[in-house]
Parts: sequence; C-alpha cells; structure tokens
Amino acid sequence: MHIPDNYLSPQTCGVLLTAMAPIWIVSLKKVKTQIAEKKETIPLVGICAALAFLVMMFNVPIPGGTTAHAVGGTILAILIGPWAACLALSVTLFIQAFLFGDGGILAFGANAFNMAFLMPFIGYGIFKLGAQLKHPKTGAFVGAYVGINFAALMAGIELGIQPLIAHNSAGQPLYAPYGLAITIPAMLFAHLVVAGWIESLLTLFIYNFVAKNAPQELYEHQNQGGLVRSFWIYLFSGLALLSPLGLLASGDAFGEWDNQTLLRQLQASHISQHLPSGMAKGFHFSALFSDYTIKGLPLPVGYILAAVTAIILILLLTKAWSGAHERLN
Amino acid sequence: MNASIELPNWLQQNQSVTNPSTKKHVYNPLNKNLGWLQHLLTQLNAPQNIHQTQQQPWLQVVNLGIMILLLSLAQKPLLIWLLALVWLVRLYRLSALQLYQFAKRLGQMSVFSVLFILPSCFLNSWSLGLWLLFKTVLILGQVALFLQEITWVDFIKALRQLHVPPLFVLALSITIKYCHILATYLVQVLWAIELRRATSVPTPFYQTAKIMGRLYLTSKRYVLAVYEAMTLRGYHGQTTKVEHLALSKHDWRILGLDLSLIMMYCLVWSY
Repeated sequence: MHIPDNYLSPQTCGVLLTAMAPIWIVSLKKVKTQIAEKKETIPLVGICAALAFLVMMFNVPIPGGTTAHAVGGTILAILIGPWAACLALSVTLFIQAFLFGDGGILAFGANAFNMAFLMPFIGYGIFKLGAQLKHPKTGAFVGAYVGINFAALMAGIELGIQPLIAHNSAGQPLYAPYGLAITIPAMLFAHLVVAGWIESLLTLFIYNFVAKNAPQELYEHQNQGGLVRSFWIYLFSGLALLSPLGLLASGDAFGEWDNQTLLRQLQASHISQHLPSGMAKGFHFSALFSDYTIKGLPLPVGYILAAVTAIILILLLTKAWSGAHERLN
Repeated sequence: MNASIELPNWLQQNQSVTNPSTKKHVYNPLNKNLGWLQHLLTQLNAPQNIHQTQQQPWLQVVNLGIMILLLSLAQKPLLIWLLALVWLVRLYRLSALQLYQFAKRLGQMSVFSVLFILPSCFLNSWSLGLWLLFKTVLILGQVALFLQEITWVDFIKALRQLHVPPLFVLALSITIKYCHILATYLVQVLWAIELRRATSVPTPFYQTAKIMGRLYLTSKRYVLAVYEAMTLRGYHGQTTKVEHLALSKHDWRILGLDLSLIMMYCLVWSY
C-alpha cells in the first residue's frame, strides 16, 4: 500500500499533504496534552513507531505458500490512542520513505493519509463502538478489517484517478497508468481476501493478549468514548443539516410514486390506461407529517426537523435495546 | 569383587539428538522472520560507507525535494535528459564500493516499480510504460543517492534545521534507536522459540500476536524505566541546542545548480 513517487501527480500529492497538515497539527497538540498528563508518552510514541515498523516487516504465512504482513494501524490506536497512533505511524512511514526508499517522498502525504489517518481512526472508531456494545473483541476484529480495506480503497482511488486528472494532449496518462476500473478491484481484492484477514487476526490476538495480561496498558483516555461520541454527533448533525439537499433533485425516487404519478407513467409508456386494482383499492395510510411537510413551515425546515426526530428516536431505541441487553446479562 | 555397574536402560539407548541449527529446513515462518530481522540488524549495524559531502544537511534534504519535484513535473524529454545528466555527474563522485552499494540499493528499490508498471506496456503502449518506468527509476535513483550521502544523525540535524516540530523529530530519533533494540529483542525471542520447539510452529497467527504483544509490554516497561532514570538525572524532553540554517561556500554550488534547474524547467515548460 506504500505508494512510490511518480505514481501520483504532484497536484494529488500536494492536496493530500495539505489535507494531512491540520491532522498532524491536531495530533501533535493532542499528544502534547497526553504528555502533560503522562510524561512517558514521549518515548511511548517512539516505541510504537518502532513496533509498527517491525510489525510491517514480520511476515505471516498465508495459504498458497506465500506470506503477507500487517500494518498495525488499528492495534496501535487501541494501545496508545488514535492521535498518538497517527503520529507514530507517520514517523514509521517517514523512516520507511527516507531510510529504506519504501514509499515515495512526494507521496508521503498520500501514504500518511491512507495508513496513518484513515486506518487508525476508522479502526479505532469501530473498536470503540464494539466496546460500547460490550463486544470489544468483535470491534477490534471488524475495525482492523474495515480500516485496512478503507485505506486500500483510498489508495486505489488515488491511483485510479491519475489518468483522468493528469494526461497529455493525446490522452496518455502522465503518472499511474491504470484507471479506476483496474486499481480499485486490484487493491481491494488483495486486501479483502488476504491482507485484511491478517490485519484483523493479528489485531484481535494482540488485543486479546494485552487485555488478558496487562489490561491497564490499553489506552484509556479520561474522556473515554469522547472521540467516538463527538464523531457521531458531528456526523449526525451534518447529515441532518444536509437532509434538504434531496429537494434539489426533481422527480420521485423509483418505486416511490403516488397513484397519480404512477398512472401517468403507465400511460406514457403505453403499458396500461388504469392503475392496478390492488393499488387503486388498497390500504392508504395518511401519516401525520406526510412527505416530511409540517403545515406552516418551509419544506427544508420540515426535512431538518424530520431528520432530527428520526435520529433522536433511533438513539432512544438503541439505548433501550442496550439497557435490555445489560439487564439480560 | 567384580560388581559391574549396569547403566539404566534409558542411558543405554542411542538417541539421535537434533541440533536445532541443523534441523531439517522445512519452511516455517520463524526462520523466515529471523532471516528478515537479522538482515535488518545487519543493515542497521553495518558501518555506513557514506560519501562525505561538504553540504549542510538541510540543503541535502531540500535538494532531494527539488530534484524529485522537478522529475515528477517534467514531461519534456529534454529536461529529463538534463536532470539525468546532473544525476550521473553526481554519481561519478562516488567511490567504486559506494557505487556498488548504490546500484544494489537502487535495484532493490526498483523491483516493485518494475512489477507495477510493466503490465501497462501491454495494456497501453510500450513507449508510455518505458517512459514511466524510466522516470520512476530516476526518482528512486535520487533517493538512493541521497541515502548514500547522508547519515541518520545528519538527517535528524537537517530536520531540526528545517524547524520540523521538535516532538516529531524526537519521536523519529527515539524510533530509529528503538528499532535496533526491539529488533535485537525480537531476534532473541525468535531464537528462544526456535531452539525450544520440537514440532512445527502451531498457529503462526496466534504465536505472532503473542510475540508482538509481549514485545510491546516488555519494551514499554523498559522504556518507562529508562525515561524515569533520565528524568531523575534532569532530562526534561526539551532540546536546548537550536540548529540554525547555515550556508557555506560549498552550499552555494548546489543551491546555484538547483536554481538553474528550476529556471531551466520554467524555460523548457514555456517553450
């Protein structure tokens, strides 16, 4: 997954490096806060970077007689927290690029974005979700699998868009020559079938080992769950605010026509001049806020209110289900 | 009295003792990983046959960045040819042994690129594939030359001179030191397992995870003890020495070359 130089156009490298800059700044600030609380965090970041470096060198046999290695993004986030893991993995990638020529120097931002940002944060987010649902092992396993595959997908997209954004007047690609139709399946196949399972199994077993032998060594931030909680809050709030975007699209979604629209479509397509009798005489329920409209309010406000109401209802139901689960256990 | 002392049965049996080092060399992940780690340690321990340049470390890093950027941006054969010429002249200054090391390193670094780009020769066209390959190998050649000309200590100094955040540099410095320590410890653990194992390695995933988990816990304990001892002796994690950007007369030569190459790029690009 280490993208070398000259596979990505300098523009792509620049954009991804710029995208990584605020993440590194926040990582440094967060780690500094951790250091203020626990001075030992300084050498710990170094240790974890060295550990990630060795994990990437440690080969595990896979069926077919060959070997593969893990990246360790999710397990590092579980052990030292996602921000410190982001910094440690960036250090590892930096050493690999400058000391071993593994991964590009211009492409360092892209590699860091995929492996030092996406992988630990997605993996850790899913792990915390699993931990909150009282299934931390499942969370670690699924988090590692999803994290590495998401990073591979991003690498596939970054490589695959090159022929589209960087080509000469004859249409020939100037950098990575394969399109999205090749790069995404190629990257995802290797990671969905092989590397993802290795990453997941190693993450699960290492987590299990540390949790059994030294549970106090697992990352326990004071604001436990804060990161995941704030992530979901931001995500839900953003989606709720964006919900009126659907109004920009004209027409109804497929299969969601009302009787009049359906009849018009059937007539226009010369299929039938009448509605199907089951639909014409069927049960019709008139909802309180039909089509997300509330009388006297503009349609976008109705959409946002509907989204907020749905989110609150879902959260309440999830909480109630979690309470029932706890009581049963 | 001729009392003969009879040895117990178990001592009279001939048992062939297998020397672990001469065990039948069936494939096992332990051997493979031991090989990798020992190779890494050899690389880290090897006396570095570095080509001494009189340039400031920060300028070497900047020069590398400029060369890679120009090579990535350049699409005209004339400019690539000029950049390749500059690279060849710089290569000529290496000694024979350094040149051999350089070629070996470049070969290792290029293998993946060759595997990645060659299929495009069949899918697109040979000229396009070979052009991409040539440019990529040239970029990797710049990196290999950079590695041949800079020590790790100088590289850390360069980062400090370029005002990279101190926490990042400190973590980098600790990482490179602990890579060596952790790899040595890992080799010892693997040897211990290899010497004590009687059968093939069961469930390599589980064992690898146990080794890595143990490595993390042990090294964490060790590093915390070392850090406490350092703190007791007055270490506070702040670097008091400030590295400044400096330029010597030798630096102007490379700086002039970089500037003229940038101007050449602009000229060829507009032409």
